[in-house]
Amino acid sequence: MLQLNTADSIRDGKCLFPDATLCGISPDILTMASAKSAVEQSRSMFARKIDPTMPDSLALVDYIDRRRGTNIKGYSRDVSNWDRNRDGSSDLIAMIQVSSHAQDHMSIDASYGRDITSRCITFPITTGEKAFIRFDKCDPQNEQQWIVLGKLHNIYLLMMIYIKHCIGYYIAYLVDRCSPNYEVTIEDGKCPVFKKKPSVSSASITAPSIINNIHDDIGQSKYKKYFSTRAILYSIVVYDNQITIAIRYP
Amino acid sequence: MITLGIQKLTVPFPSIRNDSVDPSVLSIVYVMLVHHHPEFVLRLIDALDEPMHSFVLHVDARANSVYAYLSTKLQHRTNIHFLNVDRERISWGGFSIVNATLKCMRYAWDKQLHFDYMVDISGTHYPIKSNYYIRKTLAATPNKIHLDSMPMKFYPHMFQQFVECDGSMHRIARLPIAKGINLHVGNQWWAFPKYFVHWLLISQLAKDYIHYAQYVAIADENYFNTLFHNSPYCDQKPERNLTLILFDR
Repeated sequence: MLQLNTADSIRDGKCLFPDATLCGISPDILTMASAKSAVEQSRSMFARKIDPTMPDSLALVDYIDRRRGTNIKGYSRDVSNWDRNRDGSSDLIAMIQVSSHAQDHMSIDASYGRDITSRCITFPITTGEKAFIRFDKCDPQNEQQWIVLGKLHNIYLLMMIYIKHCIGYYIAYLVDRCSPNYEVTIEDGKCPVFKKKPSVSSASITAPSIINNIHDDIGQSKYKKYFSTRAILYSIVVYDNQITIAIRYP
Repeated sequence: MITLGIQKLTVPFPSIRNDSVDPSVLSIVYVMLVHHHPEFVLRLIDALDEPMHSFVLHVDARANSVYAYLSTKLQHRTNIHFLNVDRERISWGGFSIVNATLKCMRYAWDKQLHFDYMVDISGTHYPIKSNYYIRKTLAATPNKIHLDSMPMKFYPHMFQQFVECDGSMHRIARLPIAKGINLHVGNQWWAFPKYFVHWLLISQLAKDYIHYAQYVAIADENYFNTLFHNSPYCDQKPERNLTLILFDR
């Protein structure tokens, strides 16, 4: 930005004009001491400029991260364990934690078609690739993929991924394995199988067609206080060799 | 005397969208100019990265170690792109900044990266609002141009013709004031909806104005601001709260 300055504020290389007092200036480095209040009160989406060589400027970034809820553990957090296992070929098993209410953790050996290094796992994609999580028994060509994320007693949290217009979406469903109307066979890595109980019908029913009915069952269940019957997967946070999946309730 | 005429209406202007945008899927291409602190650039990208977004990075041609570090660290993230040819040697106040930005813009367009908004940031930016807030704000007015600009004051001694050489600006002559175009200056950083990016890439005025703006000092604060105010969309009132910048001196 150009601004009239006093001579002592002239900076090298930025006094371009015949009038030596008309010089360019650079924005102030934002620090906790100088900019915390401005950041708190600002309606802006971004701030500039940060100097990561200055501890007080980095402290401001850490503060901003806390405000944003991104929970970065310091400047040099390590998410490389997940990154190294992106093809699912190593022995590393990532833990999936399903909300703070879940009692059980389930381990899966997951891999993605898209490379992931950030703490926010991003298997929905915008580049036309298909999201891929290891499902040996599911049709890899099927654009609807299922995964078991976790369980709370008899309530299973399943996630369906589907690709529409090159953007991946997640929908997480809760399924009550002890539904009075349906038998549900759930194995990690396999498509869930839904069957109506003999009193209803012996026919096997595919999962997507039945899911609304299961919603009705869950909606009346005692577990409703823990989970909404339909939730949108909001984010997945990876650090310290653990993945935390955040569910956003509608 | 340099005269830049109003663009002839030989092709339809890109039209603004009349549908609503779901903030949960609003897509952004972040154009980033980077020249140092690559570890912090990684942190910045991690802070902004979401499934629907892409990044196009221009690393200063003189910062090869930064380029090598970032391109290695980010090589497996398919939504992060690098300009790897014709990188600019950036000079403070030079048109090289505009050129680098335009190259990123062209790259994103040619690669058909999906986006509703393109946002121009640097490696020393940081988001101070959540990603959802950013998406929600942009989706609320999906045709809004985010740009902080004002009419250019005509200080005669400012109109000097510059060339970039050896990493700095050199004054070589007086520069005539352009006629037929309303010159504006302002903040370098912007967020443009897709239709305006499209217009910048196809507009004859945008091409012609390069011939003048390349000699203007601090062209990055002039080029996009001037073009917006001379575009078919100039009746918009741009949003001015994109980036918090403090000048205390």
